[in-house]
Amino acid sequence: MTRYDLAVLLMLTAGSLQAKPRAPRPGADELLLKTLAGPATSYVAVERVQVFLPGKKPKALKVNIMALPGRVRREVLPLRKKATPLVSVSDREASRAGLARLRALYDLAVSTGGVVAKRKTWKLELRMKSGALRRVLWVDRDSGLLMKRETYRDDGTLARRERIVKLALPAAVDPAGFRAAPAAGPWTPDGFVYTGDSGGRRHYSNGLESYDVGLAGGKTVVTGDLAEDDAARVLESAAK
Amino acid sequence: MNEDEDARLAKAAMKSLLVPAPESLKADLKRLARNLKPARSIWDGLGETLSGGAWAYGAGAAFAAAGIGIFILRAVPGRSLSSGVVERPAARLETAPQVLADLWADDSGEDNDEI
Repeated sequence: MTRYDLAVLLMLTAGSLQAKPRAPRPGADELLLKTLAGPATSYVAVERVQVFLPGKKPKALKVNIMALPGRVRREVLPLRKKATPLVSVSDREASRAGLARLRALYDLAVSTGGVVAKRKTWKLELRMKSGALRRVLWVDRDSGLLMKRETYRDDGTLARRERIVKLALPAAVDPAGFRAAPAAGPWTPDGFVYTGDSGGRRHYSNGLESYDVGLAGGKTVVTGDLAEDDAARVLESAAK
Repeated sequence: MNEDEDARLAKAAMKSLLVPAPESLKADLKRLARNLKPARSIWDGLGETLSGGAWAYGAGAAFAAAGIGIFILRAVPGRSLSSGVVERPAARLETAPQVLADLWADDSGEDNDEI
């Protein structure tokens, strides 16, 4: 071994000793449970929601989020400053129930995610049993907070992206902001509100996407622009 | 008897002929007028008002407008006469789709942290 080889060997050894050990990749169920439970501390965030409709320009809105452990307040900011913001307060569902629903619908796979809002993430892919990719989640490695979520159509095109663009975690949150009780009635995905009913069907919309809840053949059915897990949760809550 | 004495006697005679005026002449005159005029009942007054002069038309119009206003306020749901505050119906709230559509803005579609 020449001096040169020895020097290279020593440098490589020193480099590998200095390198941080890789974080062990968590199991999919473990990571999903952590995500569904949400952070153990309160936080404040700004989220951008983008919707990609086929053949149209992407649309986006901004949401101010305040959260206590187990409860989230979302305030959709209108474009016109004088308009009233759309505020909703929701409780997190039991994480075991959420995991069971997602497990029944999707195959899960964890991989290394990038950095979102300056937080290191794990990436969690949710594929239909047919193999089609439906959702991808980016989860904060430390807190379990869902930092980013993308939803895909059957043809593989991106339908929707929700991403936290600013985050303060932990953050002091005033509990007075959570006085509004969670909305009564069936559960609705974030941003969707009841817009009326006709022909025995109840309509829900977020302004760009919509879905209906109604009876068909004696059974409650959900039709419209919802991913399978959201539609299943709507059905579960409508049956209660 | 001179002329001065005659004038003084004449003045005294005139004074004795004058009847002293009552102390409350104005009040007596009012009492006299009231006694001459018969008392009017309230119904006579109302009848006269309804069939009366131009100002009665204004009063009638105001009365009718007030009645229509009360009817409308009672007929419109969600309005309370007593509090004067607009109350939302207790039933489930609907949000107009246009209100929701106005929340969305055109976007570049980029995937980055800052907006």
